[in-house]
Amino acid sequence: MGDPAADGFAAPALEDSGPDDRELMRRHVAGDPDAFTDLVRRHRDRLWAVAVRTLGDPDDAADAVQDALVSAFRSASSFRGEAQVSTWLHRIVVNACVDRMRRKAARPTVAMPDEERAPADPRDAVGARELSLDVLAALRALPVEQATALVLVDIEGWPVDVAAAMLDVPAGTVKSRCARGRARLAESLAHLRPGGNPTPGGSVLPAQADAPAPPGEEVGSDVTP
Amino acid sequence: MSRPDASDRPPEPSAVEHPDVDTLADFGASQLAAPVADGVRRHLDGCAECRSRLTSYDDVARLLHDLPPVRMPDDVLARLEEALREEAAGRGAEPTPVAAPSLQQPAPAMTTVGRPLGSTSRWRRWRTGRTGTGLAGLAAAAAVVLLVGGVVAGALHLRNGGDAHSQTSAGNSGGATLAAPPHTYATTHSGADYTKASLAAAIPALIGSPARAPHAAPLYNSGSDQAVAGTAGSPAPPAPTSAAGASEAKSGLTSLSVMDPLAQQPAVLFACIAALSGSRSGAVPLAVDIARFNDRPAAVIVLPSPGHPADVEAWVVGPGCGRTPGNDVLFWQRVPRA
Repeated sequence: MGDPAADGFAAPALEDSGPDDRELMRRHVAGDPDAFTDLVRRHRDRLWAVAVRTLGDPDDAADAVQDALVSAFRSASSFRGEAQVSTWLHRIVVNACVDRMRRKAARPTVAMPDEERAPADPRDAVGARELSLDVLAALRALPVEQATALVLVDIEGWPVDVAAAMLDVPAGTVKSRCARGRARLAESLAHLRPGGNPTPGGSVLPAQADAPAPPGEEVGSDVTP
Repeated sequence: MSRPDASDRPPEPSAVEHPDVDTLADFGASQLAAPVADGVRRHLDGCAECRSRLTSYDDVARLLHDLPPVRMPDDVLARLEEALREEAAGRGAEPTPVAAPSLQQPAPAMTTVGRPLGSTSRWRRWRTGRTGTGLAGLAAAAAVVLLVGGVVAGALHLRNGGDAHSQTSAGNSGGATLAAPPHTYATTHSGADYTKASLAAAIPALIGSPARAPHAAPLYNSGSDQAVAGTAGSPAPPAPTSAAGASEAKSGLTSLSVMDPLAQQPAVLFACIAALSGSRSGAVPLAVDIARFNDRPAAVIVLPSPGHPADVEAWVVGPGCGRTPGNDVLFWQRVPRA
């Protein structure tokens, strides 16, 4: 239950981006001026999602992505194919975001612009939209290690082992960060929700209170795809 | 953080105390050692409240998964592509460190900088917000004591076999043995333990940015007692203690010995820099500091930032830079020169 991927949520398909990415990297390193841009276009939305979900502010996210990808452009010749190209790109973007998060944490924040450019999900009822905003705000109140793990695994749906490679930490660390992040979110959202149970316990999601959740079973069985 | 108040409910024989949020979370993720997990399991058997808490954690995973997808806005993509075009256009061209005014000066050999005055607002932000790391960061900034002014002619080809001492000699003689060095860079062995938070503030001092404290006292002593205070504005005389200072400082930092190849063998350093800058000819570093990063031995290599003349790039690498996949890059950041 703990890992969305283990629950059958769709994870991004890695296979599609394998050989072609590597070929683009080879061309880039060989001097093809367009190859890297092609690579970036292919992964732009995923990389953007990581940045904007982690940072919240689209301007910050744009800066982080640009810094990261320019850095990746230059260090591409050192990429030797020990990881997926997408994993490598994500790692660089995540690092840039973490850096920015820490710098943001170092100064007093006012209200954070909240994904103004994110298109509203058509399914979104007003309540759900508000809940999303609450969740995103709460996400950014988490320790940055937990926030990035949740963005990669729960929001973006990367398998734990891939996220571990992106974050350059062991898979168990990713599981723990995700679990702790979810727990903190759950307990902070319980306070935010009108009518939500302010004490620990009780689902934070009234709409999903009847979601199948085997009681007493040890959740988060270590299934890593 | 939000441990339920145990007084709300009668104590249960099998359950000592509600597990705290991290423990419960780790239990849910099967990340607890068996004895601890057994204790939590026994508690859960008798505590509906904690079972419910645990269930709510999974609800959060679903909530996160159900967030609407986002797409990179067109203007962001356009800007990004422009930056990459600019980068591609500059690739292969000679690096142009001339953009750095400080590079016009041969070998600012000895410099001590208390804190980067040129970035006051950033400094203030960083100090006020980072109470936990403020002192360490201050130490790191103050640790920018240039013990060795390495002067490199042609930047890329030092004599083979040039070690720390020959570099030191070159630096101490103010580059006299090298005819009109076009580029210089300073190698520091500060041993400072940088973090992502403290690095940016230390960079202006590392590159000898013009904005600096006129009479700064060295605030950082660990491993660099030999630090010689100097003022950056005045041409620093060759310091007789420099060579000794460098080696003493290094011997005081024995765990940094893994960095010796990068610190002492120019070929290794420039292989690293060439890989980092993505260009066969490599870029000339503005400064190199043999130090630590998050308590790991590291070299901070400051490079010009093409297309951003007001900024530099700080690369933090481990001993594998230039030799291992990924270049052992620990961190990268573009920071203002001053």
